[in-house]
Amino acid sequence: MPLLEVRHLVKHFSRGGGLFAPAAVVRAVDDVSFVVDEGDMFGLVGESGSGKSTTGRCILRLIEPDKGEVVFRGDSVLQYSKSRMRLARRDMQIVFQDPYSSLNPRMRAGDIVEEPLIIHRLGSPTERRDRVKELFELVGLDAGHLARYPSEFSGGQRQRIGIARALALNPALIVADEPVSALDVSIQAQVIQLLLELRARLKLTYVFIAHDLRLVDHVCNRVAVMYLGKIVEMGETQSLFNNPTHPYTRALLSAVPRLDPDAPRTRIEFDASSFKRDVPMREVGDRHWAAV
Amino acid sequence: MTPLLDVQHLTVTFERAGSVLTAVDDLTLAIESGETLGLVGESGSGKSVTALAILRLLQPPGRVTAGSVLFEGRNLLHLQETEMRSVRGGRISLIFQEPMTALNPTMRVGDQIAEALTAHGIGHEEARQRTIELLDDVRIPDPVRRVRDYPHQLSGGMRQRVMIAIALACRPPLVIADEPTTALDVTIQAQVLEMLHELKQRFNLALLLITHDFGVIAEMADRVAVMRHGQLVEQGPVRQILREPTNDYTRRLLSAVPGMKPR
Repeated sequence: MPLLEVRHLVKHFSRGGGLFAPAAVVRAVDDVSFVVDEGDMFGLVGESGSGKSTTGRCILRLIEPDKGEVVFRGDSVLQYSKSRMRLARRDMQIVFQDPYSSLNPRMRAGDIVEEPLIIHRLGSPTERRDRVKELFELVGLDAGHLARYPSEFSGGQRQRIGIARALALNPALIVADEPVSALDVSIQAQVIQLLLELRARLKLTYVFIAHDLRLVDHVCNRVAVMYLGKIVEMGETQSLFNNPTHPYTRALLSAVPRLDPDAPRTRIEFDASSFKRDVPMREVGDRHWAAV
Repeated sequence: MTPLLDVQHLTVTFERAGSVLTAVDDLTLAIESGETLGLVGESGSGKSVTALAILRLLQPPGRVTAGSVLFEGRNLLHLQETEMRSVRGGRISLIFQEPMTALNPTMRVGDQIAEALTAHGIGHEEARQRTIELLDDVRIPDPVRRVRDYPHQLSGGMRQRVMIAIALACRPPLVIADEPTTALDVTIQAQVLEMLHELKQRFNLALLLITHDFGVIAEMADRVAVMRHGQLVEQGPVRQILREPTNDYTRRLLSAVPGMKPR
């Protein structure tokens, strides 16, 4: 049984629709299906407006999807009552992109990490304090800094606080939404290293949302490429990056700057007007599918 | 041959509440005409402050405390503000990262480009003609209609093209581009870089390209200067820096870049 299964997920937003303009419907997530196995680092990549973040949020029901199913350990999450969902969130957590706006600036770092334990009524105050210390050490923070405020930490350290908070309830699945995009490259590398170590140590599964294909190539074992709310191609990272099949994937990969000034540059342009939304996925390689 | 831009021993400090922060520390670098120099560094390295100091756009409490900026035979740091105004945009122009905040949201893009021309003494009718040519140069389709658009009607990539059109309006020999594609999607970034490259060759532009992305450097730069904590730690031809960096920090920075696996 896969850990997570997303089936025919749909989320449309309408925007505009004021005095002068008729409402326009944005198909943010448009019939998206994928499977994440236990231990996967599953990359969800795309450019802005591709629907990758909305998909991530729908999985945790931070945004309610319009249609479709999210199946976690065989249970349909979208059918859960509010209280059942709260329980389910122990197993499914999110790490946000911006370590500056996702931490309450008026709470101490230790309290931020402890908060999920209080909300879920876990442990006595002393037990919780011990757990927070343990979490601080787990993510490479100094347990002597529990009483500091977020502003007293660097960007990379703040992201570690966000990760410690996500880990507090011992989740099985973490949706990491551009977890290192706001960080400098040398800090990025450290945080990525931490995420990979934690995966091995705590047997975590990640849905890793990113726009940086270089990063995805580096860390994900499987990847789905999104474009305008659709998954256009999906497969093992190696297979997909070696043999990109959908014209959009090809264009996307060809646009990534190479580190070698002498690398041959063959830019492939993608003609947006040629994009057909309703092409079904078909197998184009071993565990590799594309909507072509 | 004297270089087009010759920055010597530039030092910029920020003084606040009695403490002095040295943002740029004894920086020396030069750009030949037609050359692209990539200035790389992480946040806080002083690369953007360097650009502002060259154009004398530093806001207090930031100020240049030592050094010179020689450009076309003059030390920019000694010019009158009125002379400086004709240098900015006329001889050296600046492209910012965020085209949405750099453009005036209440002004049609055509008027903003024309303003860059009329500010430097070009007549209105000629400015109007040149505006359309410029939009065409930066490959904005249907420029005759687009001049009437407001910035919010354009996509991020289109806005950045308008910014570039403004920067190129007076055909300056030097353009300083501060993270020009950082806010853009990767496919749009590729288009904008390709276009910049082509315009550079066509107009023999020198480019000071400020970025944190070694990939962009590899695509664009002839030479690279690496900054850290306000200091220049290494500079050299792009192939040398990317393949055989001698400085420890450059090496660490490069090893942190998640390059695509070779295929």
